[in-house]
Amino acid sequence: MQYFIRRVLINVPILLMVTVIIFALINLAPGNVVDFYVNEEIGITRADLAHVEERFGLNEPMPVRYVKWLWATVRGDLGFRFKNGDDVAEVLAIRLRRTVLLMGVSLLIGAVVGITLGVFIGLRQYSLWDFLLTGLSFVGISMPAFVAGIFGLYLFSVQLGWFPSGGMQTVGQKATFLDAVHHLILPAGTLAIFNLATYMRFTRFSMLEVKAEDYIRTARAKGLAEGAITWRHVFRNALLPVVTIIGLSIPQLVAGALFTETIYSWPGMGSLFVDAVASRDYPMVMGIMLVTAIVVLAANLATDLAYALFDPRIRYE
Amino acid sequence: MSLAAAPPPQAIAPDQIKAVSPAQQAWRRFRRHPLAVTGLMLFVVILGLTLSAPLIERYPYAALNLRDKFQAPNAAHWLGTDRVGRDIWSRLLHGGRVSLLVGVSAAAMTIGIGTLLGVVSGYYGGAVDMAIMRFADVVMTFPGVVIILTVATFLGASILNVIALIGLFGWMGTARLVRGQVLSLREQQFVLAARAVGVRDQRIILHHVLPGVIAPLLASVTFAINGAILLEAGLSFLGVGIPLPTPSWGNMLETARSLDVLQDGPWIWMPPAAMILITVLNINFIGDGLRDALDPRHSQN
Repeated sequence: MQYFIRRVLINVPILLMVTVIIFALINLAPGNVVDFYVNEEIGITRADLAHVEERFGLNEPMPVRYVKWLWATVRGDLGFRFKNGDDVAEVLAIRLRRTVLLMGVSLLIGAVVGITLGVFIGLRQYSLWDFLLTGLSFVGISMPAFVAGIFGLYLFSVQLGWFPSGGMQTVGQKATFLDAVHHLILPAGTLAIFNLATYMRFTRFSMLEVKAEDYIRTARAKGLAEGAITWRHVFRNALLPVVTIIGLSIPQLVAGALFTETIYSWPGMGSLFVDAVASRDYPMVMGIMLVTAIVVLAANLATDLAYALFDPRIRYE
Repeated sequence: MSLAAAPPPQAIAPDQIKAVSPAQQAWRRFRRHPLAVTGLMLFVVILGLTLSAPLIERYPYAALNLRDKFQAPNAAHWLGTDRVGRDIWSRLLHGGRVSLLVGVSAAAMTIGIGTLLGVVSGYYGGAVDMAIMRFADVVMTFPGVVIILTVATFLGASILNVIALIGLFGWMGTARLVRGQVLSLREQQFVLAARAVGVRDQRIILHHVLPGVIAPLLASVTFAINGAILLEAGLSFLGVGIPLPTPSWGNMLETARSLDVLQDGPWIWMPPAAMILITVLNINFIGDGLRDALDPRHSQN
C-alpha cells in the first residue's frame, strides 16, 4: 500500500515538469498569440494589440503567465481553440473517447492474438509454424503504421471494397453497433499489427526462457503432467514480462494512432493533433500534449502496479 | 540410456591454436545467422543503389515534365511518373539517399548524446545522475512524433532540422542502456584499481569504461537507425519532414494521402512504401544477428 502511494506520488513532479516543457515549447514558437486577432478589414490594427496584450496579461513575464496557465489547467480550463473558438477541454473529451476506443480495441487484438500465437510457437520451437510466424513477426515490427495504413486502405477499401475508407459511421444512416464495428476493423487492425508482432515475439522468447528454468525441471521430475506444467508453471511465469511490454508499448500506440487516424479519417485525438499543429492552434496543441503525457504516465503506473500485484517476488521496502 | 561418451580429447599441436579476438568470434557467430547475412547483403545493395543514384538515374529527380505526367511504368520511365511528371525511379534513388542519410546521422546523434549523458550519469552518479535521469523520464512521456511534429512546425522543415530534432528527442533509451552498463562497470576491480593508482576520470572513462559499453551499444545501433528512418518517413508523410522538391521515401508516400493517387497511381506510392518496409526489415535482421553475435547467451533463440 505504501508502495502504491509512493509510486503514484512520483508522478506529480514529473507531470509538473511536463507542463513546464509544454509551456516553454509553445512560448518558443515564433509569432505572437495576438497576431491571430490582427484583422485590418474590421479595423483591428497593431496599435490595438498592446491593448489586447494588456487585457489578457500577455505582457507579463513568462513565469507569471506559466503559473496562471497552470492554475487554469488544473481547474480543467484549457482555453479556447484559435481555429474556431471551441472549448479545448470539451472537444478533447469527445476526441479522447474515440481514440481510447480505437487504441483499446487494437491493444486487445494485439494482446489476445499476439500472446496466443506466441505461446503456440513457444511450445513448438523450430517447427514450421515457428519459422513462418517468427518470419512474419519481423515484417510486422518493420511495418510502420503509415505504410500498413496505406496498404490496408488500398487493398481492403479501394480494391476489395470490404470496408469503408474512413470515418466512424456511414453518413446519413442511423448509428448501429455493426456499422461502427465495420468502420473500426480496418484502423484498429492496422494499429494492432506492430503490437501483435511485438507481443508474439516477446511471449515466445519468454516461454522459451521459462521452459529452461530449474523449477520446470523440478515440476517434471516430480511427475507433473505436461499440460499442467505448460499452463500452471510456464505460461503463468512467462506472462509477467509480457505485461511490462504491453505497458511500454503505449507511447508507440499513441504515435501509431496519430497516423492511423489521419489515414482513415478517424475523428480522434491523433487526427485532431495533426490538424491543430498544422493550423497553429496552440491551445489545442498544448491540451493534446498534456493529455498524451498523462496517458503515458498512467500506463507506466498501471504496468508497475500490475507487476507488483502479479509477481510475489517483488517486495518494495 | 543415451549418455553419449564425450569424444576423446585430441592432441593439438601448440602451433595449431590460434587466438581469436572477441570481434572475430562475434563475426563468426553473425555469419552463422542466415537472416542477418541476407539482411546485410540486401542492405548493402540498397545502399549501393542509392549512393550511385547520379550514375543510374535517368532524369534529374526534380525535373518537371507536364507532358508526361501521371504515366504508368513504361520504357522511358521505368517506374512511371508522378502528377507533375517527375521520374519515380530517380526520385526513389535520391529519396533513399535522403532517408538513409537522415536515418544514419540522426541515429549517430541520438547515440552520441545518449552515450555522453549515460556515461556521465552512471559514472558520476549523485545529483547529476538524478537530474539527467529525471529529465529523460520527462522527455520520454511524450511519444517522439508528438513533440517533434510540434517543434518541426515552428522551426520549419529542412533536412537539418529533421536530423537535429530526431537526435535531440531520441537519446533517452541509449542513455539508460549506457548508464546501466557503466553502473556495473564502475564497481569492477579493474576500474577500482585504475582509480587506486590515480588514473584521471577522463582516462578511466575512455580506456576502461567505454570499451565495455560498446558491445551492447552496437546492438542498439540498428534500433536507432530504424527509429530515425521511420520518424523521418512519418514526419514527411504528415508533410512536416523533408520539404519538396527534395524527395524522401516518406514524402513520396505522402502523395498516397490523396485518393486519386492512392487509387489510380499505385506506381507512385508503392515503391517508396516497399523500400521503407524492406530497408527497415533488413536492418532489423542485421540487428537480430548482431544481438545474438554480441551476446552469446541470447543465441538459443
